[in-house]
Formats: sequence, C-alpha cells, structure tokens
Amino acid sequence: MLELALQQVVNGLLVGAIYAVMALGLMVILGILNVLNMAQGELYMLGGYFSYYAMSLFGVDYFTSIILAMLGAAAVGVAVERLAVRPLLGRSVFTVFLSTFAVSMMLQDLAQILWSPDPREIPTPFVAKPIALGPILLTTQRIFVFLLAVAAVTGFWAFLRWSRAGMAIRALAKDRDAALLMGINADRMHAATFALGAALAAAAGALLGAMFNVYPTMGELPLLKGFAVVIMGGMGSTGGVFAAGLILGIAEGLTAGFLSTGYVDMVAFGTLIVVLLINPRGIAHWGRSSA
Amino acid sequence: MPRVAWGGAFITLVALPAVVVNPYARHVLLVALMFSFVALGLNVVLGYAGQHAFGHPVFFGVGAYASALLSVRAGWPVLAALAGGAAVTTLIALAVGWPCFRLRGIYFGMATFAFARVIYLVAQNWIGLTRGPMGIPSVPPLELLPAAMFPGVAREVRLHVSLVLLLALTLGLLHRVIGSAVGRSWIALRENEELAGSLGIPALRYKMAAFGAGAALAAIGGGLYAHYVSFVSPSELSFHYIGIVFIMVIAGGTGTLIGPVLGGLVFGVLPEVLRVAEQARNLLLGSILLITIAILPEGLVGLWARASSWRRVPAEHGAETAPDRGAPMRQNAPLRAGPVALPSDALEIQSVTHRFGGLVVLSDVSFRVEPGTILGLIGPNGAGKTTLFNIISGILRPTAGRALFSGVPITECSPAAVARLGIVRTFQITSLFPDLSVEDNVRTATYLWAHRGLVSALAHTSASRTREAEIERTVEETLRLVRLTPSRKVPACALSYGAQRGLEVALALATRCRLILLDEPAAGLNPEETAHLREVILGLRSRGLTVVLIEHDMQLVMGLCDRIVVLNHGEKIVEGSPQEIVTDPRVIEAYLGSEPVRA
Amino acid sequence: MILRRCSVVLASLLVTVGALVGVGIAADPAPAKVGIGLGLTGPLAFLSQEYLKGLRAAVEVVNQEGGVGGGRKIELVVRDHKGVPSEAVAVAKRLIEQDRVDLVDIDLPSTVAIAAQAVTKQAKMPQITGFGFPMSVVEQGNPYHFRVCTNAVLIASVLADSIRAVPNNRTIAMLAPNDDYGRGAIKSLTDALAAPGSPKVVFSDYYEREQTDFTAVLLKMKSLNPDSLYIDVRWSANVTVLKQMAELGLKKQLFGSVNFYNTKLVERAGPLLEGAYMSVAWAPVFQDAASKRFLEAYQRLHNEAPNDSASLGWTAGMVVATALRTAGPGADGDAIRAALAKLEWQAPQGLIKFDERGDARVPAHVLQFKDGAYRLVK
Repeated sequence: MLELALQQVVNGLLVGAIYAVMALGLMVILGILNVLNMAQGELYMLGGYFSYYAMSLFGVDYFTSIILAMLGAAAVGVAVERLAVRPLLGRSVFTVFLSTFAVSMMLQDLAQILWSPDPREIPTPFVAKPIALGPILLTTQRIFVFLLAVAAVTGFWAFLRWSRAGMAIRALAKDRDAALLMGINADRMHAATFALGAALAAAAGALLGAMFNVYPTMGELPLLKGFAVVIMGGMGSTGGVFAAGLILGIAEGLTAGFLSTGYVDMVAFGTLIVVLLINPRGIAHWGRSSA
Repeated sequence: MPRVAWGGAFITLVALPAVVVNPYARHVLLVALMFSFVALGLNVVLGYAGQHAFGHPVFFGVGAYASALLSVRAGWPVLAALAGGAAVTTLIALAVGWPCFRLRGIYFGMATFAFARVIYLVAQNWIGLTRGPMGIPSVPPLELLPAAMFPGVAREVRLHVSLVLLLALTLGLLHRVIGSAVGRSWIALRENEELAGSLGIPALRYKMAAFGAGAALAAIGGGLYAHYVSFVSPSELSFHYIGIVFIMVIAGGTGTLIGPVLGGLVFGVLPEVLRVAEQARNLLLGSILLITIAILPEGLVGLWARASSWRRVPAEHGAETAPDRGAPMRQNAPLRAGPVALPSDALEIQSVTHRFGGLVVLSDVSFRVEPGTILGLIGPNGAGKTTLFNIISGILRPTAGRALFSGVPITECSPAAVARLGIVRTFQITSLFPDLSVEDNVRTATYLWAHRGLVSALAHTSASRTREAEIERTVEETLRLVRLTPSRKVPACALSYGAQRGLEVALALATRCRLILLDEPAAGLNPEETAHLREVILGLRSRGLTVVLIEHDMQLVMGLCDRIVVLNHGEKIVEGSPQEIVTDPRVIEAYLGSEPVRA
Repeated sequence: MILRRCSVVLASLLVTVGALVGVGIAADPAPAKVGIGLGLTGPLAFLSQEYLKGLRAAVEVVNQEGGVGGGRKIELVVRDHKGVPSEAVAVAKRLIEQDRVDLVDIDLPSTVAIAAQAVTKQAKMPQITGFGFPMSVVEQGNPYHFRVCTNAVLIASVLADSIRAVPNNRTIAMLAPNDDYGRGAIKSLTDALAAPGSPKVVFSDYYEREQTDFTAVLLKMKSLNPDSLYIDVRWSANVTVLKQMAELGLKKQLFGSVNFYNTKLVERAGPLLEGAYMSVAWAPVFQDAASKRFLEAYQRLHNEAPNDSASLGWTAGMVVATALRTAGPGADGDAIRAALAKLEWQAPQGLIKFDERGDARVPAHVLQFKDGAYRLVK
C-alpha cells in the first residue's frame, strides 16, 4: 500500500512539474499583460508538433527539437500578441479573452487541416526499460522530463529576477506608468512576454508529447489545468506555482491510484476550489494575512 | 429605442418561418433562439452586474439535465419539468455562487469555472443519476402551443412562434428589472463596487441575485433545448458550450438587452452556415469573430440604433460642462424631507485604535458628534483622518475600540449596513459611476429608500409608479442644489473636477442619510466653487443632517464647523470650538511649527 | 430617424435570414444519396476515418459494377458531428432536409446513433448503425433503424469463452473508456463472466478520453496482482498503455477488443501485444468469398490492408447498396425500410439478417496476436 502510494507520488511529481511549466507561461502573460491567453493550449500543441516535424523533416535529435519547438512557438506567440492582443489594448478584458479564444479555435482547426487528427508519436532516444530506485520504478525519460521541467522553471525564475528584460517585465507588472516613464519599451516587452509564455508552453508540449502523443486538441485540458495551477499557486509567485503544480500532480496520482480515474479531474478542480476558499491569493500567500 | 422599431423587429422575427421553409434551417434558427435565452442569462451576470463568471454558462447544461430528469425519471409534464428544472438550477447556482463570491476578479472567475468543470465531471460519472456518458435519450418534446389549438401548423413553426413570444416576454421583464432599482444596483456594482456599498447597496445580495437570475434564464434555454433535441449528454456541460455562450454575449454586446439576442441569433446560426466548409469551420468562425471585435468595439449591437436609455451612455457625448452659474441658489429649495437627524443620532467614537501591520495609524481616539452639527476633523497629512472615516463607514474594522451611531455599534457592520443605519460618505479620491450619466448616478444613490426588491420591480403597481415619480423629483432637486442640472445627461467621467466633487455630495444627499462624512470635498476647488460648497454644507445642516468634514482649507473649516477635532500621528490632540483650536499651541505646532494661524 | 433605425434592424435580420435561406436553397436532389455522419474530428477520429475508408471502398465497387439499378450511382454525403450527440442531431437534420439523402448512417459513438434516431424516426428516414455495439442502440423503438454490426453481448460472450479457456486464470482486472462503449463493454463482459469457471473481476476502472497518462491506474492494477487483464483502450492511447505497462513491469495475459486489432499498433508496440486475445468483428485471416472480395477491393483503393473498423464500414456500405437496389429507383423511406427488413446478405463478418428489433446479431470472433501476427481462434 505504501509502495503504491509512493510510486503514485513520484509519478505525480513528474506530471506536476509539467503542469507548473504550463502554468508559468500562463501566469506571466496574465500577470504582465492582464490577458487570459486562451490560445496557450494551442501553443503547447504547436510545441509538440514543431518538435515532431523538426525531427522528422530536419532530422535533428530530440533535444535540439525541443529548443527549435520553443523558438518556433515563441515566434507564433509574438505574432498572436501583435495581431490579436496589441490592437485591443485598452479594451475590456472580455474582448481580449474572446480574441485569444478565437485564435485558439483557428489554430486548432489549422492543425487538424494541416496535420490531420491522427495522433503522432515523437520518436525519443529513451529506452522503455525501467530503472528501479528501491521500490520505485522510473524510466530515464521521466527523469529527463522532470529535470528539464525543473530547469525550465528555474531558468524562468532566474530570467525574471536577474536579466534586464526580466526586470523590465516585472517593472511593467508592478507599476506600468512608472516603468514607461523609466524608458521601458512597452511594445517590445509585451512581445517578449508572449514569447516567453509561448516558449514555456511549447517546452511542456514537446516534453509531454514525446511521453504520450501529439494531436490537435491536446492542449485543451492542459490549458484549464494550467489556469487552475496559476490560481492555486498565487499570481506572481514562481515558487508557489511550482509547488501548486506538484501538489496537483500528486493529488491526481493518488486519486487515480486509490479512488478511480474518473475522479482525477474532479480532484484537480476541487482542490482549486478548496485552495481558493482558504486563501484566494493562493498557496504562496498561505500563512500571511489576506489583506 | 422607439416602440415602432421594436415592434417591427418582433414581427419580422415571428414571421421568419414563412420565409425560412427548410426544416433544417428552421431547426438551426430554433436552437439559436434557445441559446438567446442562455446569452441573456450570462449577460445579466456579466454585462449588467459586471461579474466575471467564467463558468456560468454551465447552467445551460444543468437546466437541460434538470428538466430532462424531471420529465423522464419523475414523469413530470414537460412544462412543469421546465419550470422545476429552472428552479433547481437556480438553487444549485446560488449554492455555487455563495462560496465563489468570497473571491474577486479572476479568482472569482476561475472558481466559477472550477465548479463548472466539477459539475461536468459529476454528470459524467454519477451513472446512477445521469447515466453518465450514455446520456438521457427520449426526452419528451415540448408543446407550448399545442397542436390541437393550431391545426395544420407544423411543429417547428409552433415552437418558433412560442419561443419568440417567450423571448419577447423575457425581454420585457428584463427591461423592467434593469430600469428598476435592482438593475441600477447591478450596474452600480459593475461600475464602482466600493461606492455602491457606501450608498447602501448590499453587494453580496445583488451579486447572488444576478447569478441566480442569470442561471434561471440559462436553465430555461437549456430545458427548451433538451425537450427539443430529445437527448441530453455531458457534452452540454462542456467547455464547448461555455465558449459559445461567451462569444454570443461578448460579440453581441454586453450590458445591453438586444446584444445577447443578436449574438445568440447570429452566432447560433453561423456555425451551421459555416458547415459548407466542413473542415475549416472553426477557422472561419474565429476569423469572423476577430473581424467583429475589430470593427465593432461594442459588439453587434453597435450596428443597432444608438442612444438608447438602457445602454451605457457613449463617452463621446461628454462635452465638458461647467456647473450652472446663473440662477442664484435657493437655499430653502424644497428638497423632499427625508428622516432628519433625531436627537439620539449622535456619532460616538470610543477609543478607536488601528494598526496596519506594525504601523499605528490611530491611537485611542475618542470623541462625540452631536446630531445636527458640523464637526471638522483636521490634522496634517498622515494623521489618520481618512482611516477613521474608513472605520466609521465600515470599510475597515478597527484593531481596537468601537464606533456607535444612535447607540448602535457600527464597527462590525459592512459599508452597506452602515449606510442603512444612516451614514453615507464621500471619498478622498473622487469616486463616482464614471460611465453613467449624472442623473443616473443620482438615481442609483436613491437606493436606500427607494428599492423594494425584484418582485415589485417586475410589477407595475401604482405604488411603484409613485415611488418612481418621487425618485425623479429627488433627482431633480438634488441636481439643482449642486447646480448640475444642465449636465444631467453627461457621463460623470466627462465632468470637470469641480463638478465631479459636487456630484459626489449630491450622491450622498440623495440617499437621505442622517449623517454625512465628507472627505476633503473642497480639494482642488477654486474659491467660487468652495463658496458654493459652503452654502451646500450649511444647507445640509439646516435640513437637520449631521456633517463630519475632513478638510485642509482652514478658512472653510473655521467658518463652517461647530466643533473641531484635531488629529496628529493618529492621536487626538485637541477638541473644541474653532476659536479654541486656532489659538491652541499644540495645533499650531502640529501644523506650522510656531506661527499663528489667521482665522 | 425612426426609419433609419428600422432599416438597420431589418437589414441585420435580413442578413441572418439571407444566410438561412441560402442554406435552405439546396442543390437539386440527386438519386441514391447516402448521408454519413461520423466523428471525423474528436476522440473517435481514427475509428471514423477507418470506417469511412471501408465505406468508400464499398461504394466504389458498387458504382463500378453499375450502381444500384437504373444507372443510379451511390453518392456519399459525409458530415462531421465531432462525436457530440447534439451536433449529430443537427447533422441528421441537415442530411435529411438539406442534402436530401435517401438513407443515413450516423455512427461513432453510439450516443450519436441514439440521438439521431429521434430525428430519423420522426422523418421516417431509414437509419443504419454500422459501428455501435451497446444494446441501447436498438432499444429506442424506432422501426426505421437497423444495426448492421455485432453487439456488446455477442462480443462479450465470445471473449468470455476465450478468457475461460486460458489456464490458471482466476482473477482479471479491466480498463475501458469512460463512455457509452466502454461502460457497456465492461458491463457485458462482467455479466458474461458470471458463468462458472470464469475468473473473478477484481477491479474495473474507466479512463477519460483525453487521458494520456495511465501509470496511476496501471500501478493500482499491478498492486492487485490479477492473473489477466482486459485492456480496452483506443488508438493511440493503447500504445501508451502498453508502453507504460512495460515501464512498470506489468506483464500479464492480455485480453482486448477490436482496439487491439490495428496494424499501426503492431508497428509501434508489436512485441508488447504478444499473446493477447481480442474480440473482433472481422479479421483478414477470414478466407470466405465475402472477405476476399472486401480485401481485394480495399487493397486496390487504399493500398493498405484493412482493419476491423474498415470492414464494418464496408459492410454498412454494401447493406445500403443492397437495400437501395431492392427498393428500386424513386423509393421513399418506407420502401427502403421494407427492403432492409427483408434483407439477407453475406458479409465478411457473417450473415446480415435483421431480427424484429432491427438487430443483425452478427456473431463476433476472437483473434490472438501470436508470433507477430494475428491468428484466428474462434
């Protein structure tokens, strides 16, 4: 029983780390631009497809394909920002919401037309044989995915904290007018924010796409779960979101293991509700006054 | 919108089946009409009450299931099942809304969405109740206009006509509600929730009402749909339909009556029309959406006639108008007398202390305000004056101490409850309903004594008509008092700063409160405006109101106040008449160092 | 001013109407049109595509051999309902009223077949189901509906025989999709395993259609240590499941359904499938004349070997053609229905003859994947 639980927890951690990557991409766009990017799921999907085609058309290895996928998706992200978000600056939140929703619909259809609904498998260099760490079974692929996810999260945090662009982005989030007065180029930073968010989503898509499959509608559920994780973790807190992602992954694993698979999603959203009711500002703010 | 245009639209809509003969096309139109109900429901929550409830359209599916289950499992007749389904859905919505409304903004939105997802999963997995993914087949059909009464008329035509009639009835009822105090309160919550609370509008109650009313409408749409398509499955609760309804409302035009209907019709029909390009349906739909957003900022309703009284007043109409300088102010203008300050209406502050974290903002402040007097609250910036106002008006709870009004403790009360007890305030930073016209602002402020609830809003009784006339009279006189009558149709955001401050006072006045808290009303006013303000405040006292005034303009304070309380660094240093204050060395030191102040 | 507002109102309404009327002005009705509603996008896209390929092969052959009498060729009108029942209703209506077809086939998943029956029953439009196994499909009291394929009870009974035939099989754990098909499959199989000599069902769970990670439920199954597993997982999740089973070291006797019978699955995870038994409607190892004809036609048209789903589509197409031919040109819904009711045709799966509920009750078969190839067991 304990073994089973432990294994579920470990597996849950791996999936949870990916949720966190997805969530961070959403968070940065929501926090900086106040935009609910409904197309984030499609950027995730494009990450998977770009990785697949990078390998099959250009013959690069898996790891390079992830980088290429992130770059490609970042470009798409910038295009989305330029065409569907920037012209609507100053309009109501819902108009922008609808705009990104329209983009999401279009990207899904485009993927279906171009690449057919048939799922694809990204060929990976990993062997399927498990490694035994005590009672726990792991595969090299899962370990790799987890490490890369952690690297992405850390890189994201470091970028925001220490790089010039990162600081500019954070300044824009804290006090837009002051940041503009300081000479920060809002347009460029907006594009950069979208590129960053898209790259994160694409990384998640390329990583998970290799573990499972790549198909046009693969981004729907990760989008919703990503939002849940952002809210659970607390807007603006990389650590909180990371923790929330891991917690969600573990909760899902334990639910599937001990209850039924059908309840897994319910746990995800039920957890979100519970967290919100305890402290609306998210896990990052637990223990502090909700002032 | 003149009645003629409405009538023309109605007739056209009813007569459509004469032109649209193909049963498939009629089917599409019927479904679009049903979705109009759902869109109207979301619009109440989103467009009028301004609540970003992302998960709300799930109540379409809940209504479909509820009505289907009542008729299939419990054997209820279809109309009863429809009504019962709407009632059940409303209850579920209230149960969902209750915890969600503890949150704000996007957190609230995500919570509603999480609940929507959970509801979907329950329907998918609770096989015993909903048959899960197998769905509920053979839901009995709906006959609103029975075949016996209209022989020879095809079923879809009867259904179409009955739906249009139902829609017209719903729009009529909604029109009444939106034009009433209920609708104004929703709009007030949307425009400025804090101000609405200060004017006595209980936020939670109205948010829940909007949530529930919207859910009832969505459930009606869902029930109609279930009894028409005859099959209910968990996909009715999925994100797909939530997205569609949002498209209908936003692209149709939020905050209007006709917008959601237009959105429902156009975006209900469009996906079927786009079937000509089977593969690229969503691609086309997405582009059409983007084009709509780009060209029509207000939604499809922008194609419609402008300047209707239910729509938000467009900002372009705001030419800045200075307050009227002409007719001399008649101090004794017969403002309809509200309850004047009673002898017991004293405001007592007892040992109020307040800390923000480690910072002590107020320290053991006590004083008493006699009814029918003007008290000045002065002190250097950062002395804690506005914090004290926040505590009195219920926005903050003090760390220690309490406040009483008429002997009733008010420190635990919400802003709306404090307003109900008779205390209203203005804010340091101008707080109005910016997109509403001046007169709508004042109308909203009459909530406290004018509202009677949803039911009376719907009925057009003589009592409600009398009340409406009284509201209008109050608006007239209040506007005249603050000299804003020429600007009555102008949106508040377009007024000059001085006029806006005057409007704030007007709002407080229109509530017929017994005690007014004015937070720096003269800030930024020129001498003439200040003189006018003085007259207005004196007029308040002569009407029996109590006034507590935070001000920095010493001339105004000295000439106006009966008593003055001086705060410095959160402590009350002196209390007394203006003469006593002016010569008190502690006051002089606090403000200026050691130079005397000339009164 | 009023006039202007009125005209704006009328203009916008006319645009809507115009769109609808444009939609309403159909192309001229053509003879022998067959309406096909499938989930070409959505969770059952793969099965739908394969089914459609089989259908097209049948139509191609029929048309090449002269059509359905009177020189009429069959024309397929294919529409996508995405697997959503309410969309299927709209598709059914469009096929009937707009495209003016003579016969409809609305499939995948079975809930759409059921939802569409409300429409076809009222419109007196003959409807066939070529790929829907749950019993509820034929329990709607619709005399215009006919199920061409096998059903869940027959599938379960033949698989249960194979399950019992495996030695030392005392316990079995099950996994199926959380939809009408999966729930029906597990229920039928559990019922069939109530007979003596059957293993005990120690665990059954359902996975969500969009699910990609099965490790949690596989771990749970592993901890219960059953002797065999019933894994009814669709393409392409079944590749993931098999791989994850290998990752977790979960190796048991496998039983499955038509979802295991898939050449692509063999390509990606062949060795993992070794020894598995599966219930199918058909297999290319059948040697009868009908199967050979199907194989040859399909190979010619699509340049690949067909699978089970394609065979179902082929049979559906052939049944439709036979009925249309019998009914003759200009036949209305009732005539076509009558033609279907007395139809007898030898399909690759078996003899198609409908009982009083419109169910063909074609028996299912069991294959085993052994030594890298599918072999017929029953």
